[in-house]
Amino acid sequence: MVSLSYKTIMWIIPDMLFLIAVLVTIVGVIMGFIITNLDVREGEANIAIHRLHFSPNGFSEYDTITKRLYPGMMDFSKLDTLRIESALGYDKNRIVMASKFWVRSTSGIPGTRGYGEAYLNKDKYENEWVVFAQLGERGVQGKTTSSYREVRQIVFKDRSLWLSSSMLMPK
Amino acid sequence: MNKKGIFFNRETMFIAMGVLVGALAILGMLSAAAEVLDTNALFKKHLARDLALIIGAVYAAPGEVTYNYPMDPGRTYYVRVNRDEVLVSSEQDFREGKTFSYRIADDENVGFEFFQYGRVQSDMELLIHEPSKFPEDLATKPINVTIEKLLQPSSLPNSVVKVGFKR
Repeated sequence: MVSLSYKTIMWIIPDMLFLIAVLVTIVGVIMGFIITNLDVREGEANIAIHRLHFSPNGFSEYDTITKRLYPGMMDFSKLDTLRIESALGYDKNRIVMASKFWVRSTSGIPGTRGYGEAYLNKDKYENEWVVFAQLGERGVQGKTTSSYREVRQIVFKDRSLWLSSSMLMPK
Repeated sequence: MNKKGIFFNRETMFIAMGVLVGALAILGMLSAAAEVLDTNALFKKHLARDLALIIGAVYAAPGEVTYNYPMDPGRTYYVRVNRDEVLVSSEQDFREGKTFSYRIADDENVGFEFFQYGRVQSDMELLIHEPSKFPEDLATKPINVTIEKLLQPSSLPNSVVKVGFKR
């Protein structure tokens, strides 16, 4: 004779499975419509780049006497990794951003020598995140890194140059 | 005839168990949904990010900036600005679980001060001054002062937060 508990279990299992399937579907649909993740990384990256262009501690020429900043006029002594890392100082134990800044000629002639480059968290940029960013751009899913780029025309001693910024932030 | 069997037969018992399990599952789901839909938490998260971005942006300001931050008078939050993060909480003691934070990139070349000063009519106001324009008593305050600010115009009708930069 089949026991009562066996029958109970046999009766409950299909009902439970159906209930779980329905609930998971409902929760999935609801969660799909609720946006709780506020991703501000793009804004953060843009602000960081702009800080380096418009802050007295950034790349632009700054007159300490008149306290005037000249955006777009490059001061090459400021294109320095240490300086950038001191101007954009996130918590050292939690690196959230790595970037590269480099200057090149506007002539576009292949082989034109670069005018200089500087990094924020160079090790992270070159050895880890740039690889993930490139993989992500090629459609590889997984641990990808978002890349934010900007190219800005600048002037140095009456010469027109391009200053490129590449900002990487992990997802 | 056993009258008990009419009301408590096997099938009735199974149905009752099913209803009980279903009710528990629905309660759990509603509880999870309430947690997700907690607008208070969402607002705190939003406020922390918004303030962090604003502070990041005003770092670049070469001169004096006054930033008026509009707030919904119906909400009460506490904001603490540290050197590397903004904390927003609904509790004055910034209890974990009730506090949301977002990072700030500070500038080592800039002395960064937050301090409470004066009173204004409503909303939080961020003011950025050059050191030469600081009132004497404020300019002498130590760097890295952390303030806690109640963001409710109705209870603090004349409050202001000033953000000072020393270059």
